[in-house]
Amino acid sequence: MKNYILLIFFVLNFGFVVNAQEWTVPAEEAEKVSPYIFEDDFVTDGEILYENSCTSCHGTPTENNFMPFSPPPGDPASEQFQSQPDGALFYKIQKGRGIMPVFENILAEEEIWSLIAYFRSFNKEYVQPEFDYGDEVLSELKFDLDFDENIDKLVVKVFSDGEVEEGIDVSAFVVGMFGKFPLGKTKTNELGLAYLDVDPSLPGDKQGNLDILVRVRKGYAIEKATTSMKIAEPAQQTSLIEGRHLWSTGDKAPVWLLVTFLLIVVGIWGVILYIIFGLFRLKKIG
Amino acid sequence: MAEKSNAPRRKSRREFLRKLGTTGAVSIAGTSLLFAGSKTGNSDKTPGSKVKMLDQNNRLVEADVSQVSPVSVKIDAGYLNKKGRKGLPGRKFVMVVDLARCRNARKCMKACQGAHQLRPEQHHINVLEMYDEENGASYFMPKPCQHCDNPNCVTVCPVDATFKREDGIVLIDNERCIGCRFCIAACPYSARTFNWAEPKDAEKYKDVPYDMELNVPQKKGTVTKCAFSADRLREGKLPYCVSACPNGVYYFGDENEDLVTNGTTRETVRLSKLLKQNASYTLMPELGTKPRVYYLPPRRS
Amino acid sequence: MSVSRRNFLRYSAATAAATAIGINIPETVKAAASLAEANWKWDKAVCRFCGTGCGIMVATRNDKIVAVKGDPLAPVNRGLNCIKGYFNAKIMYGADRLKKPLLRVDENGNFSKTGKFKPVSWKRAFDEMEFQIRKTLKELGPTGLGIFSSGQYTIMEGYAMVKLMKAGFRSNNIDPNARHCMASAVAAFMQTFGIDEPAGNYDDIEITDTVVCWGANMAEMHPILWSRVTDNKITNPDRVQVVNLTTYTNRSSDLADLEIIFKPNTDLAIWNYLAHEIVFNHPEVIDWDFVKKYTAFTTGFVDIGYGMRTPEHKNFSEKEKETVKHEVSKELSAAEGKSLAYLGYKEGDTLEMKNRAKAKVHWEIPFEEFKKALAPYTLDFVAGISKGDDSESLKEYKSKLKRLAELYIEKGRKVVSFWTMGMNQHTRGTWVNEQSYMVHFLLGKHAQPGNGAFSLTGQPSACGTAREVGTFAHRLPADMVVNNPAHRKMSEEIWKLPAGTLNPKVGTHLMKMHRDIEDGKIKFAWINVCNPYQNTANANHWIKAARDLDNFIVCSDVYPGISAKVSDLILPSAMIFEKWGAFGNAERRTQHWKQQVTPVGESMPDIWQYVELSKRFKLRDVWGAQEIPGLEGGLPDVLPDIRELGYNPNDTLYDVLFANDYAKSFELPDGESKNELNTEAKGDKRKVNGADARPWEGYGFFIQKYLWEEYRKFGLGHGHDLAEFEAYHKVRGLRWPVVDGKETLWRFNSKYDPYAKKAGVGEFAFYGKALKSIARGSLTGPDASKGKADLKNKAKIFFRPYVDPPEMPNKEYPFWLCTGRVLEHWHSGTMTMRVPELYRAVPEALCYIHPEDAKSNGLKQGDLAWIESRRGKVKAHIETRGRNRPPKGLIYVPWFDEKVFINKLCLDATCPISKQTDFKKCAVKVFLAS
Repeated sequence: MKNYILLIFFVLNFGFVVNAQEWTVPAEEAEKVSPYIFEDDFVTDGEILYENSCTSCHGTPTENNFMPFSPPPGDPASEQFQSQPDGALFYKIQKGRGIMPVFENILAEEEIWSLIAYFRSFNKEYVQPEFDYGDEVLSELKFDLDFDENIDKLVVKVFSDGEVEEGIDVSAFVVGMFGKFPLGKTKTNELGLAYLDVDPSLPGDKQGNLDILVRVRKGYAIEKATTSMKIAEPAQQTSLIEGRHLWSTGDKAPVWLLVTFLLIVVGIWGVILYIIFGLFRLKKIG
Repeated sequence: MAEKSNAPRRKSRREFLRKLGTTGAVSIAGTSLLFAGSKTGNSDKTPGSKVKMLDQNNRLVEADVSQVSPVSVKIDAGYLNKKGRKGLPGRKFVMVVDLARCRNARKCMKACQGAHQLRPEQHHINVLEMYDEENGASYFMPKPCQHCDNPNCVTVCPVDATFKREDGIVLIDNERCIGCRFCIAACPYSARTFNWAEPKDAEKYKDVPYDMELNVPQKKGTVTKCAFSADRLREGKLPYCVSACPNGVYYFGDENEDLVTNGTTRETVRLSKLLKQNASYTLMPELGTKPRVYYLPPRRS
Repeated sequence: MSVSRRNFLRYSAATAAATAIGINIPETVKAAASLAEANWKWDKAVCRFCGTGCGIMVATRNDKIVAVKGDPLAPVNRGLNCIKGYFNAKIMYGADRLKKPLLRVDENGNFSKTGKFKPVSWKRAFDEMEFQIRKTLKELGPTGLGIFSSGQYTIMEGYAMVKLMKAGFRSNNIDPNARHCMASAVAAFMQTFGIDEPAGNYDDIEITDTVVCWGANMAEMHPILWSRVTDNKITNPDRVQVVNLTTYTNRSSDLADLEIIFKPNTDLAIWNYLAHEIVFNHPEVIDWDFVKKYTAFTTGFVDIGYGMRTPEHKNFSEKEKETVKHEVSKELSAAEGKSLAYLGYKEGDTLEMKNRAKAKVHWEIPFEEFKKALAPYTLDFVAGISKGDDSESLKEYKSKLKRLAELYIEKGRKVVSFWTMGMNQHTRGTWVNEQSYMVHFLLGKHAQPGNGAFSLTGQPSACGTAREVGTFAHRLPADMVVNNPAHRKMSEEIWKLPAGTLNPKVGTHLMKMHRDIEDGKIKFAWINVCNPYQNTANANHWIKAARDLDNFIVCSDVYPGISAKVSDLILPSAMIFEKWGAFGNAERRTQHWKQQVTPVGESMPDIWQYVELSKRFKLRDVWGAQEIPGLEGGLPDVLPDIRELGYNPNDTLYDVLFANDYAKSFELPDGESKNELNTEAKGDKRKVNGADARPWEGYGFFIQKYLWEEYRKFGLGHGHDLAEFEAYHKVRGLRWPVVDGKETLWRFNSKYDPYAKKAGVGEFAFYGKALKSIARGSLTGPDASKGKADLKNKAKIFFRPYVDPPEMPNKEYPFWLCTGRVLEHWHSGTMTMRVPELYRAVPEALCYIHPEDAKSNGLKQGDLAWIESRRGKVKAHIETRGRNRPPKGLIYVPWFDEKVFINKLCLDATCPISKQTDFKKCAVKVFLAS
């Protein structure tokens, strides 16, 4: 009985293993190409998504520390992944298979492409295939940035191919040291203007500058820029180590401590010198 | 008191100087790695390709290769020391730990120990299971060094080996540490640990120049503790523990900007709002140490 | 016997109150009261606050005012005061009263706009002022100066400043805060009657059968008058009817028999509905005798804009342009399509604002045209567009409008219409004021006891000082105007100026003064007795201009309000009872008072400040030829002509304007009046180091009496007669015209008004002279071929259509914002917020909002919310159960609180004729402040 079970187990495994070698992707899906450029920010977006959703099974890329499942998930930086076309990877993430979840309804298309961008960042020889936009012409987006201090709003005027346009997505962030703080997301009105609230309590640097990142998107055309704007209150930044405290080091120690220390040292040396002097005098006498 | 006693001294001094010289030479070669990406040997010289490097404010910038010429800088102990003492100007680092999300994954500890040459029983950050009351549930609390604004450890150090920087980080200079362990006694949070034996992989790190921000190589007989991964901060990256956490427990940021970023989701929020809306607290505030690590209550909703 | 404090208060209060209403008091109580008040000196005075003009008694002891009570002998209030009136003394002794001149200086003591305020001497202050004025005169000429004048300074102060500015500096850039208050009423008076100020007086309140309040919360804003209305109502509860027409339920609604909540701006439609009812449905009540003999039908242009600047001005933000574009052209709404149909427009048409410069122009039309224009204003149409309360049914609302019409129309029923800011602070304020006269004239119910349209004044002396003395950009005293050569000639004669001294070009009105400072056309401004940086709409622009641009702003004030904080030089000024003065209230009653106490600290009276400045300028500095932008040829050089008047070029303006022989002939009184305080004339015990660094000893002559008597000359014989100075100190004020010692109660009525009687044309005579010769035409425009109409002794019945305001709520900004006051605080709160009792009563300005509106915006009672318009945002706490209960879609925020600086949000659109800002209508959104 036990043998039979073992036999079935092996066969099934074999079957899985055999199947695992071929996960076929329909031809037209495999030819799919990303409309989004795989630039640095896009790769970072992918990295964040990967760390949230994929690390648990696929491990960290290049370290080959994926889970020992059957079939093995594989390391995204490995040859097994990199040899597949973009479209195939896209299809597999979307549709899933077995333990691999179906991400079609969980991640937006843009997000899945960002994951692929992240995988490709480990492949030095990768060249992103061009997307055929067909009749759709990628608009050239430009924007003017201003600040309306009466109502604390960022004013973004978007020009698409030189004309103002309604309905373009605009999002703005305050760029902090480690990340971007979202100010909001809106669409332009019929004058091409988008207004975003800026909380007046945001602290700026000593001059009151804030780094503002504005991202404008129309269809597949994305344009963004970071500008330093003087829109916050100048912050009085106090130093954490100013003043004389017991824990201040070196010459910033409290004056009484320095004086006491000096006196004690001088005192002890004085005593030592006095004794030595005395000894000399004794020697002279005796 | 003539030459006899002097000679051995002179000899050891010479040896000492020689050692310094070799150290220096090795530093130049070896610590070119400290410059992110400035591979003078095999850099791609085609114009248009970018090279990443640190500018004079220690910010990561990109420049066209044709505009950059490699410069040999003496990366020696003096430079690293000065950098470590000065800190990052205009910053006040703060960490927020969301206890409602910690599930004892201990990935933070693993990342930290891996980066800092620590044995498994040495903790810069430690995840403890806390029981506040008999009837309550237990929760997990990660406890890094609190980088207090009124640090006890700094007060008691007799040799100025541990110090507080302008950007809030309390660092240890292992070159000066004499191993008296006063600071370990003084710290109420038990955040410090001592290298009783040779540190892990001591051989591998033998020739690496000592960088107090990176905290390697560890030295036997000195004290070591969490430094908010000051080397990573210099590069604009989040500390090892913060980025390793899979559950979104850590927020890290700059109090001057009033923004903190979550290590897992990379979401950036207002620090003041986060603390106010979640009834944050610090550990043992009655001691007057003024810690820089805030905790959000372990409420499961 | 000694009196404990509590007993003292009881006895003296009881005695005073009892005396007021005529009850006998036990002798012991009387004795106790008089003992406690033993070394008090009581004197009559006037309340500092609103246009009601209550009389008060102040008691002084040891040079401090220790008590205030209502004056039982004052006919206006008969011993009653409202809560502000009782604190007339405490307002003078607030903790942060300004005591020394303050100048912004850098570390070296030199003036610097970015410097901090430091106390300086009066001499330093005047030195800096002289330097800056000379600099501005050199750079921009007289039009580079600006005076923010006031409806709250005394008549003598206003007169002194008008003389200094117009006769001295030859500049017409003097305009009062009354521009924000009564300008629409004034413009309507001039257009309708040819002469300013109401026909009736407060006696009408007791005589009338119907009191209709149009957008005026009399219960809080004219409390003593409201108590008289209440008295009348309670005495005859069935006969007397009180109607409150308002955009939100307020305290006046509590007494009203009929409360009509209407949508903002639709008062234009409602007046026309009343006229429609009369003309179409009840033509029998038209008093044709009155109408034919004493009135003429007129109309004017409608495409006159909204008094805003045009969109291409560089300082407009993108958001503001959404509203400002209406200044150039506007797409007509459905309501406007109907109301402007008589001109051939329909809904959706674009109305180009072509006649912005000709807003004042009007012409006579035949009655048939008038009737034709009124045709659309049926009950259905007007009810449809004007119903303001969502929860009220249309049927109910219509019945209310009908009832209102019935009250007006009823034969033999006396009706008085009262209004203040609801109708004046309106982008068509002049129009709606004119419509009130239209209805009253059609019914023949005006200028008679108990019958009339009565424009109530907000400020204590907007009538007495601003309007009568002419502290306006276009006026001279006694209703004369600068651009009339005959008026200028008369003024030059009285002021003994060479011919051609006065500037004939109308100066800069208040709203434009702010705009000119922003454009750098005015670089020296002096703020007198007002708070223009808190009281002007779209405040963000003006504050930025004052702080960031190269200009010099002086503020004479008593407490550090927003204007003082924004200025460069602050001069501490004496308050009301620290100087001799006079106010003129809403019923044309001029009341005087004497100086009661010495001013606090180093503060000096405003007359002294103006006269001391005049000492610094010689005739040859200011009376030479000057270039005036927009005036061809500029101002002529009048220096050659001064010799015949006995002047020489080195005489100062002081010598010529204020210390001439006529002035010096007014000797200080002696006898028992010898010890009366008079800081300007005699100096005072403080011996303040004055503008010349020497202790101040007085001018040596009775300067206030001189100013009064010279000012009187303007009005005598011209319908503005005032009595001699001494007379006003014997009685509780007199209503002008005072002819042969008698007051005039109802003007234009031959029975009561000697001028009307003299005109001799019948029962009435509207003898005002201005604008009485106009063109003739039809509804669409004047027709030159029809010649001119002479309307001597007639008044005008205007037809004015309904139009929308320039900014109305939409999806993004769904609420109407209405601003106003509260009972406890006066205007910008600089005085009343310093009185602890008043501050405790109302410590902050709240945002009054309908509870359902609050809920749907995620707000609860007491929440802190942002209120945001296209021009600015402020935070305020929400109140859903307060004294003001707005309908859905409207919020109300009072403006007395510096911390809730609501004028940042208001729109600086004005009535194009009167230039008065509309503070009652703009669009905002409200959301939680996290």
